Amino acid sequence: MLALIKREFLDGLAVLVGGTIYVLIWIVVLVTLTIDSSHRPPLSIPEPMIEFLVSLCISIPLFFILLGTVQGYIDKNRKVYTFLCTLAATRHRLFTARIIFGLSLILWMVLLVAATYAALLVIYPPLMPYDVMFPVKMLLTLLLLSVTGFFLGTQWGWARHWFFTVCSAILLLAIILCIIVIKSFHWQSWILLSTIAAAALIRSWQKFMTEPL
Amino acid sequence: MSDYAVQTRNLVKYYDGRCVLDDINLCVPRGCIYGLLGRNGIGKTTLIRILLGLESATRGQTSLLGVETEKLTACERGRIGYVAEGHHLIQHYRVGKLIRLCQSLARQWDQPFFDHLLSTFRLPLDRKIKNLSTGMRAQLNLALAMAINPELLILDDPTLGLDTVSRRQFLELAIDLIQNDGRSILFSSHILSDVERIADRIGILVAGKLVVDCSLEQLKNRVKKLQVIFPETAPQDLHLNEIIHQKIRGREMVLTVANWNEQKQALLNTFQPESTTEIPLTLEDIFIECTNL
Repeated sequence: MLALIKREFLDGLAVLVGGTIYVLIWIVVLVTLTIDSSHRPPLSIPEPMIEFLVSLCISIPLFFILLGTVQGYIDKNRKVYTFLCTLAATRHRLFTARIIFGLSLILWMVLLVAATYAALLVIYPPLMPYDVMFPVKMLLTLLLLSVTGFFLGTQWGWARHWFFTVCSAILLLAIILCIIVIKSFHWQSWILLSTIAAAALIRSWQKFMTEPL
Repeated sequence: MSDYAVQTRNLVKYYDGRCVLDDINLCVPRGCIYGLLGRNGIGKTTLIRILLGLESATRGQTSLLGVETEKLTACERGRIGYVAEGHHLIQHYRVGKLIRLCQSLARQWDQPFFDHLLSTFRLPLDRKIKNLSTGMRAQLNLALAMAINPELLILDDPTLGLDTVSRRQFLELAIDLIQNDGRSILFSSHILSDVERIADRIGILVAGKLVVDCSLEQLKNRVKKLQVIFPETAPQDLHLNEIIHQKIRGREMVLTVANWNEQKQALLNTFQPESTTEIPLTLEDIFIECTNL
């Protein structure tokens, strides 16, 4: 199992580096905007930080939808799993290794954002007391959105008509985001996201177990 | 422990409403080299893919080394070596990287034997798999499958793309492997001389059915090709069962019959032929007679 996880990380090294650079670019933008607006002391959480997280809630899940889809599509076409499945590995293990890699990448990217966020709030403390849980809620929503995006992408990567699948994925993501806007970063949104993520995970697992390799 | 290395029971596979495999009951005893024959597109690769769990069957059951395919654990899979038709491997890997991956996943790895194979085949470790020739990919695939010291080796047209020397090396390796107790090989090939050389049991697939499943010796004894000369024009119907092929030219009749026995000989004698000569059949002749329906 460890060998399979190691393979996922080695093969996904470019994605890992790419994902990190992608988040770092966003972080640089955030820091720049926060410094620019620091001449007027913030009453509450600085506005750029909120706008930034909202933007991330769209871009990072999109990144993971594309990651899941492209990984699945490429592996299927290159017959990577066809070969791996004939070694001392089961489909179940191959799938688990892929999911572990995806979740690790999500955690890493969200942690980078969370650490930057915490540092900025310490450097530029708001004048008024603010709801400490608000940024936490936003980050949790971002995490759940990314997980949902990755599981949906993983499932759709195995689809035959992947172009239409990606389009429908983006449409679904837009609907989810609209619901989040309506319900805000709240437990109702988390339940909705967790349900979609669980359904997508079960469906992609079932698909991976039964599809011809 | 099952006596069979490979077993299928009432295996049926449909593709887009077309029956590719029809009620296949295949048994490969342990320690046997089983040659699976059939024309292109007849379902040999599909059968092998179902056995390995790469594809699901429409109906029926399959088992490898006594374990149902769906229930094979990673450890049990590690006892089975496979060389695929086309030798896909992982195309964007370098040879060295692929070897390390296989090594790290293997239940057991015979490094001295693998090194011996690498030096025999002279495979470049730093080259990408996609840049290797078909023959080199076949050799690499074979070396990787052999290095795990498999109890069962499944080979899907393994010598495709190999030159004569490499083919000979491969056959010798297969024979070496089988000399270890209980090792079994299931292989499909179009090169019938290879099959004839190493297989001790033969299966022939025709139109999705396994029409022959017996030892090579039995097959050669059971299928007879006879040249019969009659005093006058040869009769149109000999009333014999299991005639595979029959050709009449004036007084001469050439017929291929399955399950030739004394009863059939007696029936033929009632037509009082002038002479009956047996024409020796190679496996290739039998295969053509059986499949060229």
